[in-house]
Amino acid sequence: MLPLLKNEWIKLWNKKQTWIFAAAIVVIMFAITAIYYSFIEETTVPQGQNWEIALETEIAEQEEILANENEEWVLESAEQKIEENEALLAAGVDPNITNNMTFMNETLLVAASFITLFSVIAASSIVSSEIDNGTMKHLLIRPFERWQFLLAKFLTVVGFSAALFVLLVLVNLILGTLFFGAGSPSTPVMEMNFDGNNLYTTVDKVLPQKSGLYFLNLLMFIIISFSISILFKSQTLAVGIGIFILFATSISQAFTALLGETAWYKYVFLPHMDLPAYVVRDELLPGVGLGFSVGVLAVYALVFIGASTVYFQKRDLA
Amino acid sequence: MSQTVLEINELTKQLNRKNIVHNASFQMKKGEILGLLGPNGAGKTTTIRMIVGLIKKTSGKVYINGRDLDEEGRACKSEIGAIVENPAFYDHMSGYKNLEQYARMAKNTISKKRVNEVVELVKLTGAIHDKVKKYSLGMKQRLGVAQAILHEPALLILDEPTNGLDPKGIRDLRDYLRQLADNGISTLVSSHLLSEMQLMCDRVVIMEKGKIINISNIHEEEETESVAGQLVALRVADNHIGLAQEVIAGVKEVTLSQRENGSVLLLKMPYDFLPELNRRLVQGGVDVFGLESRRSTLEDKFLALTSEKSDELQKEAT
Ligand SMILES: Nc1ncnc2c1ncn2[C@@H]1O[C@H](COP(=O)(O)OP(=O)(O)OP(=O)(O)O)[C@@H](O)[C@H]1O
Ligand SMILES: [Mg+2]
Repeated sequence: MLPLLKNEWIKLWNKKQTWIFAAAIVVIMFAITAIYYSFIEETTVPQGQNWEIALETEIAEQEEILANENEEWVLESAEQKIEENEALLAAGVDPNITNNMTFMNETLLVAASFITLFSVIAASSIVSSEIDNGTMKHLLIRPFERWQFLLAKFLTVVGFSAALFVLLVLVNLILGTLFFGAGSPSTPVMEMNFDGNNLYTTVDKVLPQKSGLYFLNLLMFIIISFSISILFKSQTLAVGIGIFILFATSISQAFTALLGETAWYKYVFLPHMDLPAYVVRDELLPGVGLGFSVGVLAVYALVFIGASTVYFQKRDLA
Repeated sequence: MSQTVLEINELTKQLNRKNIVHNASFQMKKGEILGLLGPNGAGKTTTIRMIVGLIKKTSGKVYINGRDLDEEGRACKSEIGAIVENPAFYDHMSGYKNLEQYARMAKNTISKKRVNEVVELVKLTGAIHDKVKKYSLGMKQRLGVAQAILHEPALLILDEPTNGLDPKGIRDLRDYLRQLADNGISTLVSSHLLSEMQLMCDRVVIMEKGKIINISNIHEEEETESVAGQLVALRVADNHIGLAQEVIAGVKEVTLSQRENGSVLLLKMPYDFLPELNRRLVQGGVDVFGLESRRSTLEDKFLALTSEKSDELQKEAT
């Protein structure tokens, strides 16, 4: 088994595509830093010592609005702002503090969605490209079981994704430190929750959670594209479906709002492809928590892996 | 008693209710070079694919060194080296790196020395560190031979190995297979290059439309021919045909077999009667332009046996 893994790893890094993906991660991280930097520059709210005063001033302003206005949406937004600022004050979270830790907390998963994309492409092509160019037959006549080749290839893609993630964290850390200065890992931060209470926490607590949940989803993306490329013998279809799911998950909240009521919706894997959302909320739908989501994904994963392995074990290789 | 390296027993492959290979059976002895002959689409490649386990057999058995392929697949495969149709490689990697991949998958450790030895043998030393995409067809074929023999298998299976090889390359391969055979390694080689097979093989199996229609021993046939009478072609001056026929009619050892295009007569006679015939012809006043013994070639036999005589085959055989 080890020689197969080694072979796959060597083959992977002998492909130009692999290096292009790695380079793209670096470039993308630079771009995100540039955008973030210019965005931070624009905000002129005083920083440092004065942040608590600034928040209190804002509260006072909003209270004045409350007293003088009577249009409903204005009142609502003012109330919300007051509530938020009070919570920030209570939690000791400076909303305008920016250092390499808050930077990483806010940008890591944005950049990581490109890792998902690249992993989908790698997973879709690692089996089908060898079938297409005829090298697979040279593998299958060796003294190994067919599933061992699949396992080696699957683990190689997972390893590749993990390597890209490590690269991303490193580049993110370097750029964050250069542009925003070093901060404490326990810098307090606020995580927005659009339909519930915001979460007040620290970077070192929330970021590992988010990353772990992200990685579970990434694994799922890899399993789906990998299996589809085997079952449908088509690299294009696998990449297409992978990217479709990637886009669909980014708007899955809309689906959830539309279809959340139906009995079957919670058994579809799509709404569970945004696991990092569980950082701020306990339930996706009533009765659907993290455990349920992971359970649903696990069942899908087993079905995909089982079907593709059985098929690959039996198929004729022309 | 010599050992049986490969035995196939009533091997059948059915696809879409059509028998692509039907009840094929033969055995190969240790150190034997067996040719698998047949017109395009006869089922040679399909038979080979079943032996190396790339496709499932519909029915029948394959034994390698007495082991059942179905039960001890990995043990069987570790004794086989094969080229199945056109060898394909990782184009973006060098020939050497490709070979390293296959070396790692072998059951026994393969030393660098062995790799270099094989590279030298297939005469790729100068190009082995170039990327495979720069290789010519013949160079790829040589690399294909290299990956097949790298792990010193007991059974070599080569599907059209001479495809794309230049005359020197074909000759080298032939010599090498003979050398391997002397060391007890058996080779199953498929081709429709008939003259080539005649020089290369000990025995040939002739297939047509999925069935084995003949198995014959090449060297035995040559012997029986020389006893029973050999085919001799006599070429005389155009206007001496009649005269020559008269002379021949008067010699009881020689029988006229057929008149070939214009001034060539095909005769059947004992080989050692040739000088005497020549003398009689000259005495009879016939201008002799050529007198040569003609072995009945594998081609004659092949074409007689197989009903389909496509132009292509005949062209290739000459
Ligand atoms: N996957 C397939 N599906 C249907 N028919 C097939 C398939 N593969 C091969 N065949 C048919 O099986 C027959 C035998 O094919 P095979 O490749 O074994 O012939 P071959 O003897 O190797 O011919 P060639 O000399 O051209 O290499 C052909 O008629 C071919 O059309
Ligand atoms: Mg063939």
